[in-house]
Amino acid sequence: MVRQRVEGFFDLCTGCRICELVCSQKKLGMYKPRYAAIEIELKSEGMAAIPSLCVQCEDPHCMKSCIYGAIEKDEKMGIVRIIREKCTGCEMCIKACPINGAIKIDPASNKALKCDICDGDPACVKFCPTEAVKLIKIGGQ
Amino acid sequence: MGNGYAGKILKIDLSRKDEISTDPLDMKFAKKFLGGKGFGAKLLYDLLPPKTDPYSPKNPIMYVTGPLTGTLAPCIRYCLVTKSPLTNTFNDTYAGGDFGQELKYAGYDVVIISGKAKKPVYLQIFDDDIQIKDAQHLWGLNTYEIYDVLKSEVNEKTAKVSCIGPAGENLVKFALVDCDLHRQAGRGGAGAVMGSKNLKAVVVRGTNGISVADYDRLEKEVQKISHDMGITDKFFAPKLQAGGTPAIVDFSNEEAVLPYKNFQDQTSDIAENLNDKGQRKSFWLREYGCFACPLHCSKIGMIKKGPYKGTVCDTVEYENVGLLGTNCAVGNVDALAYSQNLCDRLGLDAITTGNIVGFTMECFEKGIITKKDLGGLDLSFGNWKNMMELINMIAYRKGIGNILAEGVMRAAKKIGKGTENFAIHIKGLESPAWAPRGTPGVGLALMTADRGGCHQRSNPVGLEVFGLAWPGGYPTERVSIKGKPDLVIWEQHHYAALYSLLMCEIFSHAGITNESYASLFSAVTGWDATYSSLLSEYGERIWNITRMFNWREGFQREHDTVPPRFKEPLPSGPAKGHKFTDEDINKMLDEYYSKRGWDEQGKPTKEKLIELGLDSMASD
Repeated sequence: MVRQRVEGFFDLCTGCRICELVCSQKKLGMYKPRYAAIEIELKSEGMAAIPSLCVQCEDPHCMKSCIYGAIEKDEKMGIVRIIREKCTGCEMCIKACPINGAIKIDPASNKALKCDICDGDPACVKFCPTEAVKLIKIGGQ
Repeated sequence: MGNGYAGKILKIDLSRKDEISTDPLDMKFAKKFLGGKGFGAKLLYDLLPPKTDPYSPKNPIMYVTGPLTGTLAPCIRYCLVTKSPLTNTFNDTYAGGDFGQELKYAGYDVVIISGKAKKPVYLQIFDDDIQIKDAQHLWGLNTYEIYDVLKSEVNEKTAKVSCIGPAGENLVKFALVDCDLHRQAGRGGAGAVMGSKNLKAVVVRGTNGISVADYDRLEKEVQKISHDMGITDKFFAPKLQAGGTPAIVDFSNEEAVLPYKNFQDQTSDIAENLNDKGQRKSFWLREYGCFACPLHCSKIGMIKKGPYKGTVCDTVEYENVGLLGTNCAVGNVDALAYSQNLCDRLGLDAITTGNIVGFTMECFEKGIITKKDLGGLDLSFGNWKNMMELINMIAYRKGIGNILAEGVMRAAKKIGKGTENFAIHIKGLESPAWAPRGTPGVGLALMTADRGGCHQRSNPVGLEVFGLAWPGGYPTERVSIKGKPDLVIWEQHHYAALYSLLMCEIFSHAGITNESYASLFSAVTGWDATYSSLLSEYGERIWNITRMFNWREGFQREHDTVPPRFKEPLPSGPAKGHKFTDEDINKMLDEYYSKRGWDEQGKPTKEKLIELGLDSMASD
């Protein structure tokens, strides 16, 4: 079974938020970084910028918490996806997920958004100037 | 299809809580003045009656963004525009970070704040929910302390905060406005104007998005810029990326343009302690990037040893190396880093502060100011421990700090005894760390800059020292005045146009071509532009508005000059012996005014203003 995810490395992150910009543009059609599927959090008076996003869990809490069946796991690609048509914006997935900022509800659509690694070609990885986000593959053929 | 603008101007009168309104952004206005400096110049000219006291409730403080702010366009900033209490000129002061972007996401291109609150307040802008809130519990907090308190109070960890420190509260004429951690709109006393309005902070959160005309074109241009940055022989990018602005220190010191001991000389043997290598060893831990900036010239870290160990500091920028460092003969890099941090926390412009501390040290050296005047402090050049004390005295207006808090021009006037001969300022703005002897173009740029002697309106030092041609121009000789008016006019148009797009001038030296800015602008707005059309259309127009503003305030030819020290021969360095003679100053000004279409007193002619589409100003 394949597992893959975009992973953030705080030691390389400069906090520039280009990842949030390109993610929101791709997913929401405009620059709206607040609701991007990746979030940069500053810590230690700004000495660290910590990227956080979905790790594509093997056993996703969000999926199991969704009573509408709006979150599915693509076992072949190793991606946990939100089925927008089924999402009601109830926020139970956000409550269930322990990762800061990994799931957002964009108020314009009232649908949940999380990282789906852009189906294997993540925009954040393409644009990050310091390789502080990388696409990591584990297992598979 | 979007065009980058948020589409609204927010107007707040702090004197009357019910006076909050929004106007739609008029696209004709946007197309004529772009954003940033252009918006600010036109709005301030129209809003403020001539000769208004900068601390009058009528003097607005404006947060101004531009069409590129909040998009993927790299390193775009925002500015604060107001009439300066330090110089009485037009004042636009810029900061990076991500406060301006958040304002755009909240839905506003410009926020105009006028009036005066009865008691300390802060302004909360959460999209359309605007509140003026009590800030008495925040009054007295330094700029670092306020963030955690305010963010938890408004229950919004991603809110962005812009605030003043104690210096702004105490109306220190060069108080800055801090923008979240580590970014400052430093020059000209915008923080004092905020203080005069009893406005401690602005906290903003935006939930909207920004749309642009052509996402593909914008992404391609950004990728091209990022690619070009990696080409080592093409740009300074690798040097600036690795070392930030202190990487310029060695150049400046070798070419003798770095102030030493209150500009007595322009080179020294302590500068090498304070450059990028010195700072890296002292405290740097990681790279720090402003919003959407792939360059990340800034560094951040923690002082490791000595009395200031454990203090988290960001890069001591080139200017502050030159002013708080070499200008005060402080060669201890840990102390230098702490002094910058202290200025930021107290809310003092570190450039002006370093200039004034250097001035005070020279007064002390000459016996004009004594230990008694300083409350027992020995303020010999290089005494960094006591420098920290003096900085605190200025921020809280204690003892002699009360006089120095008025800026070096007024302090020298008050102290007298010939100190005006070594008060290094132009129009009241303390000179920056580009000492102009040996580069007459830099001198002309400082003389004619619109917010007083500032290096960010034109700073042709590199082109002069290396004898390089500017775009569409020709090479000049370093110490000759020949060609310098042309060079300065081009640069002033360049900065006026690109500051209206909120360009970062550090980034502009590091991997972005002039044409790229035009391309970014077109991709975002959908409006056709080339670099030369931006300069001829907007640069000259905007530069003439700020000149007209200052003319209306009473500034003319006699104010376009250099301080007496720069008329003495330079003691050392490659341009040893160079000085500004009255003859050279007048020759440069005559040519500069004439080529600009200004009269011999430096007033834009009616014909010029009409040619630039500024008909309404032509009869002023």
